[in-house]
Amino acid sequence: MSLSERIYRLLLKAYPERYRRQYEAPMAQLFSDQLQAADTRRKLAALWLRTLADLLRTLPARHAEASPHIVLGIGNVGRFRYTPWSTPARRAVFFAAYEARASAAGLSPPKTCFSEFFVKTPRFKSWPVGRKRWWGCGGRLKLAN
Amino acid sequence: MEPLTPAVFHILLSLVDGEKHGYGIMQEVATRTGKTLIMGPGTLYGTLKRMLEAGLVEESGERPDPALDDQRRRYYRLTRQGRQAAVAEAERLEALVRAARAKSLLRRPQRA
Repeated sequence: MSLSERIYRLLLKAYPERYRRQYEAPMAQLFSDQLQAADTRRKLAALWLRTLADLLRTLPARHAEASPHIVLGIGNVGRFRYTPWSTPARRAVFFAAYEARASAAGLSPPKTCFSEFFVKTPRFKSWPVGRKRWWGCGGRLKLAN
Repeated sequence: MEPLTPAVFHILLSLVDGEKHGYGIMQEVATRTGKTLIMGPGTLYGTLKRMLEAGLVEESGERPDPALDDQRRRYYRLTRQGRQAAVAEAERLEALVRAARAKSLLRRPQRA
């Protein structure tokens, strides 16, 4: 298996699991057919450009189909139920958002709070609803100074 | 009936001749459009998924000799509903072209 095929197989993991179960193998086969036809570097580069554009275009649609109950948006963070990303990506996004909001408010979340954040919300499915807990991480955030 | 999206219509047109696998469909669409429309795996299988759900195409159980073909390939064929949808869309497009010709937007096809 070529490097391109390996990379593409990794990228396919970004699709929802149910969709992948059905279409991962034929999609990988289609990509490998296209790869065989790309006999020059230029064609290979064009194939990758097309494939990446195709991924970016289709990923949100497949995730929206897979989880129609998504509630996303700045004002809806507290009502968050499910994101279309994998768990590590979800963690990263929420971690960053949390940090940004905390620093904007002049708050410095203690380290224990973050470890708690990871331990208590491994999949973010039961992340508590409500501004108080979101902001305060259980009401135990401290002021920076 | 609502107009079909270009991707759906192209896939239906490709399957009019008989069943094909994903790469076969992609190649035919690319050839027909002069490579202006090359469907990526995400677009192709996403569209096929919706078409399967709508009953426009179905997966074919028959496969060519496994020795000659990769097991990962899936073959698709038109359903009766899919053929009707393709005909309806072709007629709709034909009517549009006639309207464009009537307004001298297009030249009339020359007779051989």
